[in-house]
Amino acid sequence: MTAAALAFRNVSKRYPFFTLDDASFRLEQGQIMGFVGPNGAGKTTSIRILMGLIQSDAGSVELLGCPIPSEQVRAKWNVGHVSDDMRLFGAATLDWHMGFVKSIYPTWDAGYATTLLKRFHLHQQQSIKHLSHGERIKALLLLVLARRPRLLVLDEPTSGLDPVARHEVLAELMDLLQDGERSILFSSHNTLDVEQISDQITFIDRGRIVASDDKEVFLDRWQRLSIELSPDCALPEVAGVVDVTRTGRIAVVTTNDYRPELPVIYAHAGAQVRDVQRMTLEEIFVANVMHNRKERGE
Amino acid sequence: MNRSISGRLIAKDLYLYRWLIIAAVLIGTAALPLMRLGPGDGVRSGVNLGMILFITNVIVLGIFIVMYGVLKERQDKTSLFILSLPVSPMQYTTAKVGAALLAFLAPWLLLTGGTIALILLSDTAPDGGIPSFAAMMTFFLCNFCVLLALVLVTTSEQWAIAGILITNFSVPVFLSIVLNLPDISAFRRAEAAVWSPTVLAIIAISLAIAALSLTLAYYVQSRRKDFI
Repeated sequence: MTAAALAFRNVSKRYPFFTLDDASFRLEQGQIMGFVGPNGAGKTTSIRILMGLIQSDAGSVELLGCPIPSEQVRAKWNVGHVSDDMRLFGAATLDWHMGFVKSIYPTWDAGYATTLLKRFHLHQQQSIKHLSHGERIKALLLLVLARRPRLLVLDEPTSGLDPVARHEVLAELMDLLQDGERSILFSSHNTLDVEQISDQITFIDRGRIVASDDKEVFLDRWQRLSIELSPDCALPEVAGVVDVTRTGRIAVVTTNDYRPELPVIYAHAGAQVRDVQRMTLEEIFVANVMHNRKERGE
Repeated sequence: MNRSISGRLIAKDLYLYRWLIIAAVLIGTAALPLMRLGPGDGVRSGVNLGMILFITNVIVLGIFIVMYGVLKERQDKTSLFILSLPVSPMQYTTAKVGAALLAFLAPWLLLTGGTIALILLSDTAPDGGIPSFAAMMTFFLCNFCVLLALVLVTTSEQWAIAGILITNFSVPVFLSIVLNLPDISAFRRAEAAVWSPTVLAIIAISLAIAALSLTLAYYVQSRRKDFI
C-alpha cells in the first residue's frame, strides 16, 4: 500500500482561545483536496502542523510517508508550500530567488520556470518589493512549481487576488494536475476556487473537522427539496434531513443523504416533492457548518 | 546535503547583509584616522569624534543585523518561505546565528585588528591602550550576542527595543566605570601593553556571557513548540 500524500490522525493543538480538536483526514497521492473553512477555523494551524512549523499536542501527522515533525526535512524535499502571508526578500530580485531555490533543488526545471515567467507576466530582474500582492503570490508559485514537488500545500493562495490573477493561478494548478502523480492540499474559504479543482473536500469549522469526502459524494448527497404540503400534513421524520424551512404550504428540506426514494417517502406521507436541487459547494459548506454547530449546541 | 543547505542559508544572509557589512567596514576605517590616539588620549578621550564614530558604527552594525536579519525576517514572514525549504526550525536557527555572527565578526575583526595594528605602528599612540580597547570591543561583541539571543527567543519588537536600550545604556557605564578601574587605567598610557588580571577577567566574562546567552537561546529554541 502506497503512503498517503498526507495523513492527520487525531491531531490536537490547544491555544488559549482556539483548539484544533482531534482532527483526522487523509489525502491520497494524485488527489486534490480542498480544505475549506471560515476564517479562524484552523486551516492555517493544521497546515503549519503539517509543515513542522508547529508541534501538535496530540495525534500523529504524516507527510509523504514521513512522520512530522521528526522527519520534516526529508518530506520537505518533495513538498511545495505557499501561503498568502508568506513573503520573499524585498531587497532581492526574482532572479536572485530563482537562483537561490535552484541551488537547493536538483529537480529545478529551468525551462518550466521560463514558461511560468511568461504565463504569469513576471520579470526576472524585478525587485520583489515592487511586486503587487498578486505578482508576489505568482512569484511564490513559480518558485515552488519549477522544482516539481510531489505535493503542493497551498494555504489560501488565491486570497486577495483579482479575478484575472485568480484565473491564471487556478489554470496553472489545473495544468499541473495533468500529471496524475502530484497531489495538492488547497486551503481556502472561497468555495468556488475549491470546487473548480478539487477531488476531495474537507470542511473544518472552529477547530473541528466537520466532514471529509469526495467532492462528488458531497454534491450527490447534499440536495435541497421543495415540498408542497397540505394544510394538515406534517413532514415525516427522515434520516439525513439537516434543515427544514417552512413558509405556508411550502417546505424547503435540506438533506445530507439524498436517495432517489426520498420523494416517494414524502409522497406516502401526503407531501409532494415539486423540485430537487443540487446545492453548490458553498451552500453545502454553510449548511454543513450550521448543522454541526447546532448539533454541538453552539 | 543539509549541511550544504545551512551553508546556502548563511550565504543568503551574508548576501542580504553585504551593504551593511561594507558600510560598517568603510565607516569604521574612516573613523580610524579621526581617532586621536596620541599620548594622553588613549581610548578614553572626552571629545574624540573618531572614537565616537567608531563605537557608534560597531553598535549600529549589531543592531541592524539583529533587527533587519532576524526580527524583520520573522515579522515579514520571509522566515515562512525559508522554513518551507528542506530545513528544520533548529537548522534555520543555526544558520541564522551563524550568518549573524559572521556578519558581525567580519567587520569586528577587521576593525579591531586594524585599530590594534594602527596603535602598534604609531609612534605616538601608547601600546598600553590596546588591552582596554580589546576589552571594549569584546564587550560590544558580548552586547551583540545578548541582543541576538534575546531577539531569537522573544521575536518581539518590544523586547528587541528593550534589549537595545539596555545594551546601549551599558556602554557608557562600561566605558566610564569598568575601563577606569585602577588596574586598567593605570597601564593605559604605558609604553607596552599590560594584560592585567582585571582586563583579562573582563574579556573572559564578556565572552562567557556571549556564549551563555547564545546557548540559552538555543536551549529555549529547542524546547519551543511553535516556530511561526
